Amino acid sequence: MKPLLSVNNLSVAYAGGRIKEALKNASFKLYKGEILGIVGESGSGKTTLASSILNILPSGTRKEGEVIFEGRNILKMNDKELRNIRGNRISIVFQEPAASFNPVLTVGYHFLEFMGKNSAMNKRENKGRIIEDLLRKSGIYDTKRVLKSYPHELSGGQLQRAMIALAISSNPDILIADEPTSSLDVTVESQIVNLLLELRKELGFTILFITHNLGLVKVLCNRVAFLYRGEVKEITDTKSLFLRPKHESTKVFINDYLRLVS
Amino acid sequence: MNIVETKGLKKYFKRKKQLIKAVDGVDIFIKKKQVTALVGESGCGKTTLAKTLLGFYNADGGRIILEDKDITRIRENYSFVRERIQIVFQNPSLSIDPRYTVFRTLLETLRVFKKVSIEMAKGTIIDFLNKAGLDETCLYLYPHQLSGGQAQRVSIARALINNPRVVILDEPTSNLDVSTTVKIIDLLAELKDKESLSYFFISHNLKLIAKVADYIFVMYYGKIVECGPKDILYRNPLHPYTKLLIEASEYKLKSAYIQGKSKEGCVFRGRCAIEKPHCEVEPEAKEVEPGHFVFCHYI
Repeated sequence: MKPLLSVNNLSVAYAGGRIKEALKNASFKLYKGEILGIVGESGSGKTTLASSILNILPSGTRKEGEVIFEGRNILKMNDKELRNIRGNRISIVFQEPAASFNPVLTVGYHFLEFMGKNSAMNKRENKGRIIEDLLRKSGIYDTKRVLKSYPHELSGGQLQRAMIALAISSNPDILIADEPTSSLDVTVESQIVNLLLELRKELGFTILFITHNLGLVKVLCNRVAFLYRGEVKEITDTKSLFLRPKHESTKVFINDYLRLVS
Repeated sequence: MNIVETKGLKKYFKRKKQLIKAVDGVDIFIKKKQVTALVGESGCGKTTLAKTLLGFYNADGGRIILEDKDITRIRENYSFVRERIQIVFQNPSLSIDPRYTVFRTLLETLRVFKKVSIEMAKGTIIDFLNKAGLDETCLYLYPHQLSGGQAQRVSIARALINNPRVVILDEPTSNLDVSTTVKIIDLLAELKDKESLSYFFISHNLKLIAKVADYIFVMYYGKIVECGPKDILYRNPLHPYTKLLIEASEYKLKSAYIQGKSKEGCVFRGRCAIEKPHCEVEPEAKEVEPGHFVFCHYI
């Protein structure tokens, strides 16, 4: 089967950073319809990986290797081509919902601005109704109030729902979820995770799920890539990761997790 | 044997002329040489309760008893309380002074209760750093030079250096990695036995609580809704809120987000699936099994 996205020998080094290489020779393939988990400790390069798929790394960062999406290398695209990818074909939901909205603009403004950038959606009429439908799909029912609110007036869970609504508004092929629940409460976390699963069933996007929470990986992911100090140490299906971890660092990580939950 | 007890403890805040009942008539106890845990969502008053126990806030009602002494008017009993109760906060990088070296942080703490020379203090400080799993090489480092795990170890050393009886652990690992969490939890367990400490462990991570706690209190919007020994509570959770939390920790909870507190009666009323007429009256504690209390009319 042809992969939807393939990352080949990707190495990333930040300019002036303490760590020489945030990613070393990372390769993996993402297939249509699956949920691939990217797991690792903090500092292992998970977020760097997500950022390089969208090519949103800070300027001056050295990147080698390629990220192939529909036969073309995202790392080599110009701004215009990138605009067609970012938030359109590939969307992302970040860890901290409060930090991903502009604090001086209302939530509704973010939707309008995003749709204005997206030419296909700009032509559609009844923008208001489309936005409200999106919010309802994402589990927000008092849509009018939420759209008029500023980010600080909403709870973390509601903001994350709004963020997801924004991310799915362009009907993307791939949704990158970069620790979308680690700043949320247990109860909200469970709801957000189930929301993502429901939306995926309905809209059919592929999820790249970045997390350090193995409990989540267990219930969510089909396959898992384990990152350790910038290297992909192991890619396998979720079951065999827990039953037969191959690499030493994976074993340690899984044993630690099992000791905490059993 | 209870080392700390509260009786109808209250702490209210005023915001925009609204009264927020952060802690509203809470009876809890911390058992000697055991781990007593407090579970609840963010905003339910866990940290306010901890801070009231320590005297960071004055209680607005109720009583706090420490080793059979009433310490509700904490300002009159500051040193008595501080010598016996210490706290480890959630985010070590915010709770350690960034301008102080590790040595100075610990020296200041030590000198609150004892007059010691720097040379004498150094021995004690190294001793406690070792207990917390650090060595002398950290002595003259600043907090920003430490990793999250190391900084949390410094917080632990700081909490223990005056030999307290009770340590409040306010989400001590929620900022840490899985592997670091394991190490810190092991360290805490080891220190508890060695120093014969009692822990008050605050967390929203039910899986972690299941691992460490002996007795658990479940809190919702300023009130305790259920409490019991760990094994009983996990085997037989009765209050709808406890059930909801356990369901959520297994990622099975799907229902849309409703949170909120009803003005009168049972606090959980607005979110509860079994709402019935009796819920307008505030429920009282029912002992269903020895040591297992539930605050619900319909159990």
